[in-house]
Amino acid sequence: MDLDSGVAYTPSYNAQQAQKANILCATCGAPMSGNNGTAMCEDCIRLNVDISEGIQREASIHYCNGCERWLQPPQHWVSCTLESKELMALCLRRLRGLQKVRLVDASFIWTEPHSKRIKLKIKVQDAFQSTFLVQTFEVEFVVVYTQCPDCAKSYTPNTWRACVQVRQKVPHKRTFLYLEQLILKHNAHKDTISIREAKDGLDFFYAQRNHAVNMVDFLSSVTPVRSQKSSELISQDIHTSTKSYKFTYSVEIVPICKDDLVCVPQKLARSMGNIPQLLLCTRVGATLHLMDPNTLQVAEIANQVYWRSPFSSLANVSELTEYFILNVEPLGPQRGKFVLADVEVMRASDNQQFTIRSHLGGILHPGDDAMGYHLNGSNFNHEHFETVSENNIPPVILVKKHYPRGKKNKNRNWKLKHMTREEGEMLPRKQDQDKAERDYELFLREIEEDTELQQTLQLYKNTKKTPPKTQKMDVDEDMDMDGEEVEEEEEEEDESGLPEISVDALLDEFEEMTMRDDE
Amino acid sequence: MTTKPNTENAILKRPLYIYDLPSTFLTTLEAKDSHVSTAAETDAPTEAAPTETTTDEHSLGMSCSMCGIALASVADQRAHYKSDWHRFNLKMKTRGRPAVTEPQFDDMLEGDFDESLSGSDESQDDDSEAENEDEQSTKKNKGPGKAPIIWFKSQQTTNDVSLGVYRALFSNTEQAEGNYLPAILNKQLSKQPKMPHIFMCMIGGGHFAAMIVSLGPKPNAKAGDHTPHILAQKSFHRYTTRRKQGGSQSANDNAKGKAKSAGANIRRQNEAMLINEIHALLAEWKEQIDSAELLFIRASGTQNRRTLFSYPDAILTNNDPRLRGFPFNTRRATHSELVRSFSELTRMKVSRMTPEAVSAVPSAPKPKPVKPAAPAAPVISPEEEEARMHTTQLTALIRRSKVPALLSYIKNNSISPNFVFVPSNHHSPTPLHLAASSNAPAIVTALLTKANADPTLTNDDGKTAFKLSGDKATREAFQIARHTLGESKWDWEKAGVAEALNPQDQKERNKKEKEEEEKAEKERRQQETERLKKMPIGKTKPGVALGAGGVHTAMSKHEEETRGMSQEMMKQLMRERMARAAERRIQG
Amino acid sequence: MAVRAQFENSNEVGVFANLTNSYALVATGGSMNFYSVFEAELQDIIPICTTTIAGTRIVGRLTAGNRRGLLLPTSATDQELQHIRNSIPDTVKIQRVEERLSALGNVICCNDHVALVHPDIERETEEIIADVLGVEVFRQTISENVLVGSYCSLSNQGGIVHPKTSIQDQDELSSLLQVPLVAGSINRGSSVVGAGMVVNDWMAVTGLDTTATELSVIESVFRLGEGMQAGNVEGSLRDAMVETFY
Repeated sequence: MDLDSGVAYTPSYNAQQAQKANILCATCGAPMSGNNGTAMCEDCIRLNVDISEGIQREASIHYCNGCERWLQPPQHWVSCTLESKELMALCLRRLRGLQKVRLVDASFIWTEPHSKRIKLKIKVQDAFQSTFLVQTFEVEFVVVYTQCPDCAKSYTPNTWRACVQVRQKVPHKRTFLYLEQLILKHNAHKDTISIREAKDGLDFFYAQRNHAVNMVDFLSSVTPVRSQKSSELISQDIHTSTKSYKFTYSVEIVPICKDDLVCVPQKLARSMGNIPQLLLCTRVGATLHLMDPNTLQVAEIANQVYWRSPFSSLANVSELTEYFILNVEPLGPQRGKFVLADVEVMRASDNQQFTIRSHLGGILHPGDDAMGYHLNGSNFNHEHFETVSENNIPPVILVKKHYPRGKKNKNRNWKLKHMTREEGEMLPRKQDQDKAERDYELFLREIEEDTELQQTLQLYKNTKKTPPKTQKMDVDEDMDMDGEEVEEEEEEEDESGLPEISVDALLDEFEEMTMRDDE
Repeated sequence: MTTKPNTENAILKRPLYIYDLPSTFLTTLEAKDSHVSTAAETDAPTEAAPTETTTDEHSLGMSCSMCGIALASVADQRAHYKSDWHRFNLKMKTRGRPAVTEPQFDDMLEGDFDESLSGSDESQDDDSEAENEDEQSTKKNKGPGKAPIIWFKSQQTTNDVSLGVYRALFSNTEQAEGNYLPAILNKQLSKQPKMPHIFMCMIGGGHFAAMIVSLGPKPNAKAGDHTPHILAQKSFHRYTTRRKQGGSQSANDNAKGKAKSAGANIRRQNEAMLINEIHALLAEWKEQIDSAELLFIRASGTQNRRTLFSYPDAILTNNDPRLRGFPFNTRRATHSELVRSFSELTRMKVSRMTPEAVSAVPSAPKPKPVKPAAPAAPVISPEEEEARMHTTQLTALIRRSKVPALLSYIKNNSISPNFVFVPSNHHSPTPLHLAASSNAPAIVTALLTKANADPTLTNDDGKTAFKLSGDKATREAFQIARHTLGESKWDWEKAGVAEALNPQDQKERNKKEKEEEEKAEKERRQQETERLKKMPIGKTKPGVALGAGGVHTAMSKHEEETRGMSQEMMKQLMRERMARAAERRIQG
Repeated sequence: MAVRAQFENSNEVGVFANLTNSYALVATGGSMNFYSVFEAELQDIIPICTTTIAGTRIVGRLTAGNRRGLLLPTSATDQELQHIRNSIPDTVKIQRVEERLSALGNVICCNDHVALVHPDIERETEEIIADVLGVEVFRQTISENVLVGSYCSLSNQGGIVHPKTSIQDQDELSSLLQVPLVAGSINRGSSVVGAGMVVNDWMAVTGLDTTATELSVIESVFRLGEGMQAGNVEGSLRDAMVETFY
């Protein structure tokens, strides 16, 4: 071994010496060639020259304890594990003076994670006056804990720059539940810093104004809304006349929902082909879809048209009453799924019978249950309703078929995604919570009943079928099913009419979603 | 006889300063036959002992790796390191360019080379020492057609030694008398009441150098030390010549009109400044110039001569009898060149030639001593120079077919009709060859019949003049010459000339040929016209599709007419056309 | 005899001093240390002149001289010229040189017989050098460097040139200068041998960083060792030295 290495070394040394030994090395006195510009032999150069001079031996590196990310200057925070490639890159990038030499190798030296030290062993190479030098040295990084701006923001209120306040002045939350699903589907909430529930609506907060503007645009594309912008001056630099504002967009959604009974102003009704004033709202998209159940005549009210002369709904879903269908006689006219028919109904509460004309002739059969507004003897305090002549007011307006529900309906084979949202400052009262639960249940049922609606939403497979209750469902469990929609007693009666959602149409569950649910 | 070589050595060992020759030597001096030429010359031993002792151990480094030469001694090495060539190479090296060889460098010097090797633009030094002293002493004479050097011999030297003095050193009257020996005696300093001095100046290429040098030794010089005693000296350099293109700025301006570049302005300015400086200097030296014994001036070109001679209150005049040119080649106008020229002028030229060699040299019409090359730059011998001059004259005359001029030139200068061109031309070495190859029958006839040129001479390819002639007329000239001179004059067969031709016959033949030619041409024309007549007219109509002058529709014609017209012009054209149509209607 | 010295923490002795066989120029410094080194060695042999040149202390780089003469740049003031004139022997000619390359010490490298100069130096300067210093002047480069004064240190005994100088160049230069030459370094491997040291025929002053190897090379080529010295220093100088040293 020794012999081998010796033999291998000697010739190269001789060859170098034989090159031209015209001077003596300044330090050791060995004869050498002066051709490389210095009067120092290679060995002495190796001993004397420190090519790592100017490279930091100590540096600090910032780490956010909150989100476990590392600062990559100037303002980027990257998450990487200890002793990972990414962390190595981060550390090497932190070292000043490393550009001047050629990096050959770098490796971590193991340190206790709690020592808050990272040690790197670095091997560099450089040519000094035609002599190649390789040097190895250690660099110690001190891990400094810093809160990253994102974490800092999450702990600090008022970090938003723009806010979108979405409001709908209705007593229930179904619109927002629907809106939530739409937002999730279109991923419109991606720039949102936080979402907070407020009375009659939601607040969306954004770090930048254009994110808020995007949100407003999205909302106006899916619902009839009216928005208003306001800005608040936060600070101002009078030298450069740069100002910082907070922007608030107030978005008001039309206070009319599906299945609401509306009474349009006379003038508007006339402008829409002299439609009767009493109408049912069949759908709310970018426009309002209204229909006269007596004639199947439809009207569409555009956003701007509505806001020109706003009107409120006469009655909403919470005021529906149940009827039994005694007889159905289709009259002939059809419009889409609606078939005009004379229907003989009996109010469930007092067995009072009425013969009315309804648009639900296609789906109603004698013996079915249906929900409808009872106008006979009702008093509405509504300015447009007063203009409607008594003759034109039917005693009952049927709205939808009613499917009796059993307990097992709660074991739905599908579920919806939720957005995380902050609760309002005050804890919701008990009855508010109950109301919210009821709204949610109604929303779910509505999805089940309306295939059109299903297509606009993203439904996911519910893998946890056996314990079917989410947290909300627990609440649901607790509450007593009082109120008007308590049909549980008839749960086992008839379920044949209830449309099933096929499993094929459902989306696979996302990991992300599971995490949310777990939270 | 035995003592001769010794004394000769003693005398010739040192340079012979014409104005201070040893009296013993002077008495033995006698004029030589002016037509005896000496073919070879040697320099007297030269180099002063170096200040440092040369040791053998350093002979290893006796070279210049940069210029790629080996040198014999330390003195040589030092001389080389001081040479312009070495300095130029040094400059090239520092600029990272390859070194040039000595011939290349000399070529560059011949060309327009105005790089300042010394690094200075202007210099003045009133009592500087001569830098390089040539050991050849020569004297020279001036006058057209006369040898520039007058040769002497001495009893103290062997017969083969000739001593030359430049003719230019003698005054006009002395030259007229032609008796040079007493003149030399008179010139000796010991006989002069007052130290005479001469004025030398050179101008060219933006360089100007002038000095007034006393012929006497330096005041405190040892006997025999002939380093020139310079009374005043001045040299200027201004950037006036156009780099790479050559020629002065003013010459270019005169030829092509004023150039507007910045460089041109600088050069123009510098030229003016140079002229002003020269005039101021001459005015300053007026007294010394007036009293100078001789004025050596090198000013080639009208521009330079005008600078020196023709301006108001000129110090120098064109017709000054003291005025002399330098009778040898000079280089860039610098002080050192002036000093070299002075040495060259005032030293006796020593030429050695054995009596056999002398007798072997055939007596040429104009014997010229071949001057050896000066150590720094080779100087063309006067003989060769004259030959070159004749060559250029002859070639020019032949090329322009100037028969009478050529004949008179040959006659006046008594040049052999078979004169061989210098530098040698391997294709057409003689006038006859040149005349033949440049197809000049008149010249050929004249050379053969009047100047008696030999047609049998061959060029390097072994071809006679006849073979070089490129056209019939020239060949006929040879043939006619054969006829007129007769078969016996030359070996015509050897000359390759075709059989003799009677001028009458030749004329007739020419006439006949001409007639035949005309006839043939006439026939051809007739045939052509007939062919055209036969051709149906319709067929000549070229295809419209090709658009080659096709039929013009009214539209296309109109378009063609209006193409490139402005709106107004078109309108006017329309109006005119309408007016014409209206007129026609009314008349019709 | 070669000694080490430092001028205010700088090893470039040749920058701050100029040493010839008949006088020495030393820059005025904050302390007398540097001066004392020269004084200890040269007192009573040759005069030492403490001066500035053009108000600067880089006297070694701005001046060039030998036994016979001293050249100063035009920037040297009259006062300095007068002071130097008064301090050094009358036999030494002092001349101010109008030269574009005003750091004469960098562009001229001379001993008492020959001088190497920068290739671009003016002709007038060349002539002045020849006249004042009584030397033969050669335009030269040292291993492609035009600053011959910086990269060559020369005495009548020998000379050191830039370490890159090839053997052939050394031979040629040596033959031209008629002194032995070696390639070498100074101040622990520095190649600016001209600026790093001063030398005359019997002593050399180098920077404090100069290693023993370098010093031994210097002593041998300049023949400064104890044994070599006696035979080579000539005449009166030698007598004076012998007096002082023994």
